[in-house]
Amino acid sequence: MDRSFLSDKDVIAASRKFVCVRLATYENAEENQVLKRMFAPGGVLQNTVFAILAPNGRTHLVRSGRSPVWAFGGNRGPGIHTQPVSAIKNMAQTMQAIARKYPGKAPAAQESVPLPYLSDVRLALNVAAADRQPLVAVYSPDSDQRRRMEQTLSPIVWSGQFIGTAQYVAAQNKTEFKSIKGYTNQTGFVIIQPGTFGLTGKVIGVIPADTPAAQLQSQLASALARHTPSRLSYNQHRQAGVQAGARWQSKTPVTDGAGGRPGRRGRRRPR
Amino acid sequence: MGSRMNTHTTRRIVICPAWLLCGVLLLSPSRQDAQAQGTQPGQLRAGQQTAKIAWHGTWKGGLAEAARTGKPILLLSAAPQCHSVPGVW
Repeated sequence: MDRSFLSDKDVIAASRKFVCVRLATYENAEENQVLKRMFAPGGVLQNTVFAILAPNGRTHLVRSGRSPVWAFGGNRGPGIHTQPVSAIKNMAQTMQAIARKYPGKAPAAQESVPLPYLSDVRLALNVAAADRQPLVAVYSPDSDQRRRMEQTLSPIVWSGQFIGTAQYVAAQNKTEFKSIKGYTNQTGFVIIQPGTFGLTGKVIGVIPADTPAAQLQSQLASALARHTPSRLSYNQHRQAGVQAGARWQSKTPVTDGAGGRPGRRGRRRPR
Repeated sequence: MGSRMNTHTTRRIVICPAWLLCGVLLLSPSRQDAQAQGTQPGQLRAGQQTAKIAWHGTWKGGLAEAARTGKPILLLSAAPQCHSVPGVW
């Protein structure tokens, strides 16, 4: 039985009352600085960071750390995926209490909810592979057309049927698709099956940019259903990646490691 | 040469920081969903989707949305790689 925090139905239900932000550590220097302000023992950015913040993005509402365990208790280390129910419920209840304190503002009429974009296609492919989800690229060189596409897509993305089922990225240049097989320079919603290691991808659907909302919803559902998630276990994935020479180069130095010394890529045993 | 590489690879796998694994287990909803459903990770059928947390992927976007809505922020961060192998949290 899975008892980890983020797949718990009560935590997921509570998350709908939050703005949920998941960053890719070591991929953006500015975001690294934000994360270091959240949690960085010895001033060194760690691989993982967890925080719950007020809407201002600065006020910590629970104890920040490397994972929800730091705030809500539970197991650290290898047993972290089998958390005690009490810790998970603590997280869900705390989130609900915070949501009551910060109920949010009524949205303005006709206001379009921004899409949950990743920063670029390269990173989006990797994240989609890691989540074992399809990637939807909203592609148009014309920013006005892209904005119209976003307005059409937004209510669908945030609807109960689609929320949290895919990753999204905006693209404005065809060169961003250079690692994606089957791309034919067509403007529109490009649905992509990420490769196992998220370094490549292939197109599994393209929906024209001017598709009306009702048709977009059905066509998107059909395209997303063509996604086939990786069948590799975590260990299989890692071993296959080593054998295949699949390597990821972070955009900023990886600083997580023993002694908090920047530039080291992990704890090493004494030789 | 091959033996050295294997030894090196094994060592790197063994010394994978426990917290990196924690990040993987915490931030891999597909794995968790699979476990929750009594299946092994990666055994989800094509097109099978379950309710998950919907993440904004940038701080700028998330902070703007929090300012717009007045909602609190659930923040996580992790590197989508393990010892430079991408496609995994």
